[in-house]
Amino acid sequence: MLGLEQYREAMERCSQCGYCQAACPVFSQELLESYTARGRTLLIKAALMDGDLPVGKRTKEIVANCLLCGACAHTCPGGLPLDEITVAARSLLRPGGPAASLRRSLHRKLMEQRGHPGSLGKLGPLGKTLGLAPADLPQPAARPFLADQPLVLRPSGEARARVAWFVGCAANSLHLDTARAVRKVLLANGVEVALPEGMACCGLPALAQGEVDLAQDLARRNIAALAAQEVDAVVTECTSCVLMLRDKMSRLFEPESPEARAAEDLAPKVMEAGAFLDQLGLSKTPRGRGISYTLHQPCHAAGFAQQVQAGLALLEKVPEAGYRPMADPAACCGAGGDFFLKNLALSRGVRRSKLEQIEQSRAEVVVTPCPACRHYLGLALGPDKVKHPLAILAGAYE
Amino acid sequence: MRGLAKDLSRLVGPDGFSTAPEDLLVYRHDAIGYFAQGDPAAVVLPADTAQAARVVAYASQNGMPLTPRGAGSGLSGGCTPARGGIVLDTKRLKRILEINQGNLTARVEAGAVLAAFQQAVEAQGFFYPPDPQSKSVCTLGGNVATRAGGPRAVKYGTTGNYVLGLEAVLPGGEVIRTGSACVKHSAGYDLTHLLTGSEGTLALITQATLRLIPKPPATCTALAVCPTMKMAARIVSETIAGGVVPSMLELLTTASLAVFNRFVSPPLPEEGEACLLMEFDGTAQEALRQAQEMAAACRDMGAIDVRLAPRPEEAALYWMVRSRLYPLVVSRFKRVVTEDVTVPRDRIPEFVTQVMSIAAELDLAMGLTGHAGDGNMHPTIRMDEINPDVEKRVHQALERVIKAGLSLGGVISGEHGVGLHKAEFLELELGREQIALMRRIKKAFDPTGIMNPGKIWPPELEA
Repeated sequence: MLGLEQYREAMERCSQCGYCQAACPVFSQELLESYTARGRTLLIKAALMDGDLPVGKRTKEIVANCLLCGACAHTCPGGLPLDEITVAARSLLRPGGPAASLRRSLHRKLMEQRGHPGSLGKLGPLGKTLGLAPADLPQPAARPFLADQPLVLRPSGEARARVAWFVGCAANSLHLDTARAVRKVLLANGVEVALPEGMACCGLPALAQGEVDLAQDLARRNIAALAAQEVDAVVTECTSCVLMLRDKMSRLFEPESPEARAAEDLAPKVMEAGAFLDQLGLSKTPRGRGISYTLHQPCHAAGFAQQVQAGLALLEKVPEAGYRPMADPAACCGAGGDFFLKNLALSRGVRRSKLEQIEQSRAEVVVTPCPACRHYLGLALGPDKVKHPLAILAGAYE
Repeated sequence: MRGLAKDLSRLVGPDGFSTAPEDLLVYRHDAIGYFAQGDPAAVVLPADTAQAARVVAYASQNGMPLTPRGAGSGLSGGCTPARGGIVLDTKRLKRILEINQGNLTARVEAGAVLAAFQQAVEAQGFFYPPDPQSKSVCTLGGNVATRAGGPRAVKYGTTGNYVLGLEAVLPGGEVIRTGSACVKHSAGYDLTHLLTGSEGTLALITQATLRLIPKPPATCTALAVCPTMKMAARIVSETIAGGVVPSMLELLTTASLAVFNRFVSPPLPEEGEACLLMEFDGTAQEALRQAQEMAAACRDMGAIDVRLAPRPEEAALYWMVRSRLYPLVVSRFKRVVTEDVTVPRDRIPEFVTQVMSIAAELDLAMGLTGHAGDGNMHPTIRMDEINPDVEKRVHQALERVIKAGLSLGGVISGEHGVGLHKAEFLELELGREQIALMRRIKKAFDPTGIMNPGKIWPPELEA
C-alpha cells in the first residue's frame, strides 16, 4: 500500500478547482501555487509517474514542503487522499547512502522504543552542542513513563470501564506531565487501564518520512498488542495517534488483507482520552481552581474535531476555568511533526499568526492534545503556557 | 532563459518569481483540469503595484505575452498562458487597504481573497454580496476582471455592480487610477467598467475601490424538492414575476440531495428531477415570512418536500455543500464540461426544455444547475469516457445550447467570462461590428498585443 501508482485514478480525478489553496498553511506563506495540493499532485504525476519532467532538486523541495497536516484532503470537494499522495511520493524520493541509512536505523530504534532513545539520549545534548542537532529538538526525559508502570492500572473501588491506553511517544518520553495527568483522570473516574506490552510508535512519523515499510512494521506490532485486549475502548492522549490508529492504519495494508481487517476492527474503538471520559461522564467532581484556557485544535484532528471538542467540554466542569476561544482554533501552528526543525522560516511564519490569535484570546494557557503543537507553541510562549487539556482537569483533582 | 531569470530577479527580487518547470506546471491550468494551455517562461509574484508595473513594462519592452492570474479558479481558461510568456500572479497583492465605514466603500489589492474580504467587511456590519462559489480562494482582482457573480446576483447583482474605481497598470507600465470612491461619477468615459470584465486583455488591475451595503440582519434558507425540472423552472419564473425576490435562488439536480444528506437530518427524499435552494434576507421576521410564503407556493405547485433552515448554522451547511458541488461532480467523472449561458428569467422554462431535448437527441448525460434566480444556467455535460465521437457530440451540444440561449435573448456567459473556451462563440452573440469595435479599443490600450493574448476572440478575429 501507499505505492504511488495506486493513487493514479485519484490524481486523475482532481478537478484542479484549487480550493486546496484555502486550507494549506505552506501555501499561505509563499502563495506559490506549486505548493498547493493541486500543484504538488500535478508535479508528482509528471515527474515521478509519467516521466514528463526529470526528477530534480526542485521536485524534492516541493514534495518536502508539506506539513502533512491533511487540511487539503479535508477541504477537497472530491475527498481525494492528497496527504497520502505526498507520503507515497516521499517514499519514492527517500535518500540513499550510508548517512541516510544510519539515520533510518536510528529512527526505527526510536520508534520501536516509544520515542525514548535509551542510552542514545545522551547524544542529543552533545549533538546540539556540536551543532549537529537542531537547538529546538526536544530533550527526552531520563526515564520513560512506561518504565515505571504496571501492565494494568486499577482504580480504587469498582471499575466503571476498562480501556487500553495507547501512550503516545511524546507522553512516554517528553511530556511525562501529560502521561501523569491522563493516568490520574482515568483512575479518578473509575477507569481500569491496560498498558499492553509490545506497543510501538503509532507509525505516523515514519509515514511523514516516506518510510512506509517501517510504518507497516510498527502497525503490525500495535495491532498484535491491542487486538487481544478485551476493552471498551482504546484511548490515547495524542491526536496524531488517534488519526493513525483510527483512520490511517488499515490503509497501510492491501484492502481485505488480514492486517487491514484487524486494523478496521480496531478503528471504531479508538478514541481521544478526553472524548472517552466525556462519554463515560465524570464520577469525580473537580474542585480545585482552574485557569482560563484557549484551545488550539491540531490539524490531525480535522476528521474527528468533535472528539477534541468533547475533551474540551470536560473542562467546563472545572470551577473558575474559563474557555476563551481564539479566532480560528483549527489554523495550523506551523509545527507539522518535526517539519519546523527543517523549515525554520516557513514554520515561524505560520506560527506568527497563531501566536497573534492566542494573544488576542487573553487566555492564561493554551490547551492542545498534540505534543508537536505543544512543543512548538511552547518554544515561543514558554513551556508552562501550553498544556494537554486533561492536565487542567488533573490539576483540579489535586 | 538565464537572461530572463536574471532580469526578473532585478525587477522583483529572487523570491518574487520562478522559472522552474516544476513550479510552472500548475500555472498552465485554471480550474478546468483536463485543459492545460501554453507553456509559460516564468511566474512572477510582485509584492506591490510598483513591482507589478516594472514587470508589465519589461514584458512590453521585450514583446513577451503577459497573462494576469488570480487564484486560477476560473472556468474559462482565461488565466492560462495560451501564448507562453509571463504569468503575472497577483496573489501577493493581498492587502485590504481600507474599509471606510462613513462612505460605505472599501479599497483592496487585486490578490485579496474574496472570503477573507467578506469576513472583514461583515465583522464591521457591512455586506459585499458578490459570491462566486470559489469564494474561499478566488481573488477580487479576478472577480473584477471576469465580472464574476454567484447566487446572490438575483437580488444584489454581480461584481460589476460594486466596482467604483480601479488602479491598473497599462501595458506600457504606466499606472492609472480610474473612477473614484464616489457613488456618482459623470466625468469622461467609464474606464472603470471598461476594465471590469476585460479579462486581463487591456491592463493589469492592481487595486479596486468597491461599494459596500449594510448587512441584512437575518437570513432564512429554504429547500424544495421538485418532481420535474420543468416544475422547478416554473416555480422560479413565477416567483420572480410575483415580486418575491430571494437573496439566492439555486436550481440543482436531485443528485445533489445525496450530498446534502451527508450533513442534514432528517434526510431529504432523494426523488424527482430537481431541487431549489433558496435564501431570503431582511429582518428575522421578514426573512422567515418570505421563506414560509415561498414554501407554501412550492407545495401548492407540487413540490415533494420543502424544508426551512432558519438557523444560521444549519443554513451554512446547505450553502457550504452548494459551493462544493461543482468540483465534487467533476471529481466523479472522466471529464465534465460546464457552460454559463444566461437567459432572461421569464425564459428559463423554455431554456430548460430545449437543453433537455438537446441532451436526449445527442445522447449525452447533461445536468442542468444554475443560479436560476438570475437566469444564469450551468448546463453540465458529464463524460464517463472520452473518444472522438463523444467529443464531437459534446461540441455540438455546447453550440446548440449556446444558440438556444441566444435565441431566447440570452448571453453566452453570465459570470465566468469568455476566456479561451467561449471565444469561438463570441461572434454569435456580439456580431462582427461590435467585435471590430472591441478590437480597436484593445489596440488603443495594448498596441503590441502583450496582454493576455489568445483570449476573448478567436485567432482569426484577432488581426
